[in-house]
Amino acid sequence: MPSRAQKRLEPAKTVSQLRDRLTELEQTLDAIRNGQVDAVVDYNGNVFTLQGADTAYRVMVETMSEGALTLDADGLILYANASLCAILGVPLSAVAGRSIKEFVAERSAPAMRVFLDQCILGQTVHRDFVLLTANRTSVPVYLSGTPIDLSGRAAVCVVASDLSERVAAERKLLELNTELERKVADRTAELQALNANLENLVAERTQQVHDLSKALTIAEQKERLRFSQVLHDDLQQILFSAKIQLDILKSELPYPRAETREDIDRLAGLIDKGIHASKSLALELNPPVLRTEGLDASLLWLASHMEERYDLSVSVDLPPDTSYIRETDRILIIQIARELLFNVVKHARARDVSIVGYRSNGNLEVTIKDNGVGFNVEEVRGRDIHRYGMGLFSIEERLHLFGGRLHIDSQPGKGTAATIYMPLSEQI
Amino acid sequence: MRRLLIVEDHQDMQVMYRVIFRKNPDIEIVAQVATAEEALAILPDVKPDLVIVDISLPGMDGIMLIDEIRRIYPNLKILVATGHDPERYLGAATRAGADGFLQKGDVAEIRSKVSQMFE
Repeated sequence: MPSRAQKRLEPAKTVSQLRDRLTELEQTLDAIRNGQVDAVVDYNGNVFTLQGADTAYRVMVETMSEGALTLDADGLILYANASLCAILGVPLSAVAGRSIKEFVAERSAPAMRVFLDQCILGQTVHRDFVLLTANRTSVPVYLSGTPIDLSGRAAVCVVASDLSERVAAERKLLELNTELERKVADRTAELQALNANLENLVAERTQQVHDLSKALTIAEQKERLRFSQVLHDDLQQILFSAKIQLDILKSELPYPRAETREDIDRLAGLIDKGIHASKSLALELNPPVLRTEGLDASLLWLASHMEERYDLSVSVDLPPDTSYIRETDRILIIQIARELLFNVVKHARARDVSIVGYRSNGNLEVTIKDNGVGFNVEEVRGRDIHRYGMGLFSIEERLHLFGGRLHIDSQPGKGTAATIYMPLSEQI
Repeated sequence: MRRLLIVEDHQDMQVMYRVIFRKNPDIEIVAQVATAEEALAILPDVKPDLVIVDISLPGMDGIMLIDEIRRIYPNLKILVATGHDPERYLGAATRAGADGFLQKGDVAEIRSKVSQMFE
């Protein structure tokens, strides 16, 4: 029989033995957790091998650059490799047995729950997450979860790729892209400003050319007047005086020879031709009615002039009062009407022409219509103006300068109708 | 002797008038002036029987001069000379008070019209 003292010592011994055994088991567990053992032998002689056929896979998993871990259905970490520990910045002992949720950013927690549920239900799931390291910094990762069976227990095998470098690169790329876009926007703005300046410059120059051309047209009208006055006030007076003095010389010669009289008569005839030519030219350069009468009187004069000189029958039908038309416009219309009538004489082989004018939609419309041979309008417009002369182009340009336009309606064999449109709004 | 005042700004035309009338014993050109203003200034002194006025004059034109002369000298004879088509100025010159027209360049007509003024 054991003594009483002995009975008192036995539980204490048992406790001490149990403590030693517990310490031993904890050390064994730590060794297993830290991957320091390949096999475990229990007290009954059973050998639990951690090495052998699985060693190659173990080495591969431990040395691969991606993180790897196994989770149970609740997210408890059953195993994690060295790369995952490195991502999280903690040793394996601080990972195993803890929930994955402790290493997931708060905003990613619901997504992690879904991720686990989908995996447990048998799906392979891929998804971006943000994990938290030991010092609470965020690490972007790409998790691929695959359902596995651990001795009848549903679990999940997860491979984690550290996206820090990729995200940093993406962020850098985004910054570069933003910078590039900013530079493009700046450059675009500069180009737009430059373009706007150029457009303003072009518009300004175009306006200057327009003003200059208009001034030239008005200057041409004034020059015509000046030439006409020089012809009348100077050249014609000289010719008149020469002719009269020649006539007097002839009458006062006492006994002129017949040849002398013939010479004087021939000379007088030449002077007469000179007077006639200078009168005609003065008249054409500046028809007297142009500046003193209205458009209707000017067109009537033009009609009679064309009939007299070119045997062209011209009828005129215009509203009686055309005093609202500005002088420069009236002179331009007469000049253009005259050029169109010359075209009829030169090209149309027509005998009858009508000039009809009326006010319509704020325009004065003057149509000059002949019964001649007509022409193909597009073909004539397409001709080289240097070879065929300015013609219609010049007429259209001058009308355009004064806000007007020209419309030609013609076909071979069907005569021609040319309509001058001149806006009246500014004159009324 | 009939007294003639010529209002003509062109020198060659002034010579022409002198040549036309130089051998006419009944006509004396008492003065030749180049502007309407000169004509009005000289009229009281030269006391002409007939004034020949060119239509185109610098400053006051021929029509205005005729109008002015007629206002001051209602009975003075006035002929208008023009190288233009006379019909253009016929109405205006007649209204102003001209007694007739001369076509420049026709010596027979000039002599004839001047003679008619003194019949």
